[in-house]
Amino acid sequence: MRIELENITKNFGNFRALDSVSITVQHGELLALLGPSGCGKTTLLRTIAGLEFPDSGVIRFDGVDVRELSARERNVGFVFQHYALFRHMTIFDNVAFGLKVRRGKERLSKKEIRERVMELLSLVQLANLETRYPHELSGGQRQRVALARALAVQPRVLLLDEPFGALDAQVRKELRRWLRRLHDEIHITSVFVTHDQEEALEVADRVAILNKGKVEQIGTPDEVYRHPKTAFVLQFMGNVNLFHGRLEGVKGLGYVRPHEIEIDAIQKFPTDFAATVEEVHPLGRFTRVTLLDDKTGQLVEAEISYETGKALGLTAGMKVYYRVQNVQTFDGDYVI
Amino acid sequence: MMSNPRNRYLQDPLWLRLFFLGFTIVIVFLLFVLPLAEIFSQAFRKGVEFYFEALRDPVTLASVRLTLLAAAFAVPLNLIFGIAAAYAIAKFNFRGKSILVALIDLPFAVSPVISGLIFVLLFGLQGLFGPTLQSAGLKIIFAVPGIILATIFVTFPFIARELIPLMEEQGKSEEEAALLLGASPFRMFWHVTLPNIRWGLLYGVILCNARAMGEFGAVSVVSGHIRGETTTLPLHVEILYNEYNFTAAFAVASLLALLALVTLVVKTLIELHTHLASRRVM
Amino acid sequence: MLVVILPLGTLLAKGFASGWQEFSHHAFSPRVLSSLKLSFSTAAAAALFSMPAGFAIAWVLARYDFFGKRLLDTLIDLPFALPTAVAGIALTAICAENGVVGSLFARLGIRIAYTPLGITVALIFIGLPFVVRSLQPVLEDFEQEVEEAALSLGASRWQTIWYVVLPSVLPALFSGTIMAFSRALGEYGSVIFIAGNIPFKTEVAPLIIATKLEQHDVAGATAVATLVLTASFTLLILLNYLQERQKKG
Repeated sequence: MRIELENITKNFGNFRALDSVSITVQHGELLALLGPSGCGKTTLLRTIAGLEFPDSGVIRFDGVDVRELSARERNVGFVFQHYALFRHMTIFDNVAFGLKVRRGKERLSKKEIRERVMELLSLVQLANLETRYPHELSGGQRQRVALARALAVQPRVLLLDEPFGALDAQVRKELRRWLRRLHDEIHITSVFVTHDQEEALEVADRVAILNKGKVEQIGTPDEVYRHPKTAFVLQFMGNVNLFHGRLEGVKGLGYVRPHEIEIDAIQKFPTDFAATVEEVHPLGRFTRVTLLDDKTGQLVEAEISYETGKALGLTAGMKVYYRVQNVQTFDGDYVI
Repeated sequence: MMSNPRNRYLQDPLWLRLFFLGFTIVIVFLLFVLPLAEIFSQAFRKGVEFYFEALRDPVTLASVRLTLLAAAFAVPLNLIFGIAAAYAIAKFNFRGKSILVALIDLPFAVSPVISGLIFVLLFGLQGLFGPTLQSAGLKIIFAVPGIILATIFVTFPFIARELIPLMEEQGKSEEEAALLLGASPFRMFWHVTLPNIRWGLLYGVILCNARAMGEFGAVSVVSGHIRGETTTLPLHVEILYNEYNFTAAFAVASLLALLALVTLVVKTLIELHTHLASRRVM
Repeated sequence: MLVVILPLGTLLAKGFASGWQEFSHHAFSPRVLSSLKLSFSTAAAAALFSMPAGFAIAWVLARYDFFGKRLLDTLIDLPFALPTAVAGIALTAICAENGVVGSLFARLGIRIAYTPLGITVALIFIGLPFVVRSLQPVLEDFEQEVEEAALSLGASRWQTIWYVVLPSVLPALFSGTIMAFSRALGEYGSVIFIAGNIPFKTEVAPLIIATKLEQHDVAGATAVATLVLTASFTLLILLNYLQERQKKG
């Protein structure tokens, strides 16, 4: 299903949570809403779900205006950050809940419900745990139950609010790969909220970056990472060094990512900058080097391959030269 | 949530809200407001003059004194005990801790009449220590000491109960820090422990005091109802009422009702205060 | 410790000191049995009323915003602060046939004061706050997300309350009700005035204990007390079990 959001604005008292947001989610797409906390991403997700109602703007599901429909009527699957499982029900009853509360001709027989629930539990790889209670499961398992429960009602959209936010790093990584594979399998239009750019880049088909209630950029992971449209996006997508009008052909601010800085023991080009090594941190595959620019006294962060670092024999206090391989610029200075 | 009318789907339907709210108001009015109003209207039925005359009666004044005396024993003793017990339970582990916790609650679980009976069994003429006391010429049951003991017993749990969860929540890291910084145990208690629990303490004290002054069943059993000697205020109310001296009974009762109202107001103020404080922390 | 253990030990020792024969003679006389029956049935009736009523009040206090809510919230604690004897005479005055409420019911041919109904009213007064106060914090802490989850899965408001919220707060509702029931069993001050204390009709068990003591029948009083106490302790154990479960859940 295709979701269109048009000029969605939402205020909480004096606080503008969403400021004229327009996004279109294509059929079968997995879209990430990415941004720092308080940027409005969760509010936007809840607005799609019908858990919040915008002050102005239009929401269309497949071209149909759903503004007046409640969460109950929109047929969306919502996965909450803290799972929100029904703690007094077994895993089976949790997943079956949405089917059991149906009334009238939509109601399935007991047998059909059982089949559907077991099918979903095996889809989320929890087939043998149906008689357990939520508190007997691990965080990752609970999140998968929450997902199965949301999918049970065959929603038109799947919405996930920081789905991996409460999990530890290892489980988090496993689960997000699993979510990606699951999406490839069932192809349901999905939107998920995250504050972790790595997660957004790895899982999503497209990423929408929000800041202060506004959309900064929407694009594929590659687009937003390689061609950020605003300084905010650039900085949010990873560490960056700022150069004030010192780079060739660049007026005003130039942004350079740490891995786009090259270090050498000797000066190869006249544009190379002289610097002193402040700190060297080998971090596995690459080595992080902090340089102190001799002329400006600015700290510059560089990431070079472990081998290069070793070959140069970098130590603190060493005199080196560095050069910039790629610069990003934006019209007008953007201050965060 | 209420302020946003568009978020209506998470609210109860109007009929349900009106039903619940209406029901609550009716029950609270019938069960709580009406009796309170009744006490005061009955107390003043024969006019203001009669009211104050009833209060000035020497027997009434004697029961006021006895009630204050009982509370003056019960509250400080239970204060000391409550702090000690809560401190021990919250900050240390020892054998029989869970039994101690259960025992503290016991006076709540036992009928007040049975609490009184227990003291009769201990100190009455046929009681465990009865003969010993009699030969020593001491009288506890049907005398003031019995009333004080019974009052202490029934108000035993109030302060400890209030403090235990509070102290457990705070843990002992602050106290340990104070000791490591060289504070003496007394200074540590005075400057670290006490300020942390002062609101809970006050809360416990006013509840303890309300019960101490208002206790009826336990005190009734051990009192012997000797007018002006072993009658506390609630017992005095009973005597006046049973003598069909209703207006005087309600006049004396109005004093206790006032005490209850003051207790509720102070309690609410503490709740408001600590609630705001906890919100600030968040 | 001494203050608590010694008296209770004495009570149990005394209760059975003169043997089972003597004990059952006192404890199972028709008048005692009828008072126990009355105490249990009125306490049960009051608890059965307080359970749904307490739920409704706790729901209102936890969920709704309205003018005067703070006052209402404070008033719920009145029975904790008002001496039982005072509550007793006030309720009697209201429920008597010439009282504000009593006269209304008298027209319908229903007497409240000096009947088991009156006893039940007093016990509701005493017990209701226990139900409200044990339920209210649980309802306040109930995560909104869980209700939203039910909503997004297609449940109506009613289904959400019935299948999701209510089962989650059931342990708290039960423990509040048991507390109310247990307190009602032993209640004395607020009951004796409205009861009228007619033997075999409106004489509650705690009153029998007090009366026997007034007649210096310590053995008889102790026997009845042992029965009431056993019931209270059984309830206490049940309560502890429920509260443990609540913590775990």
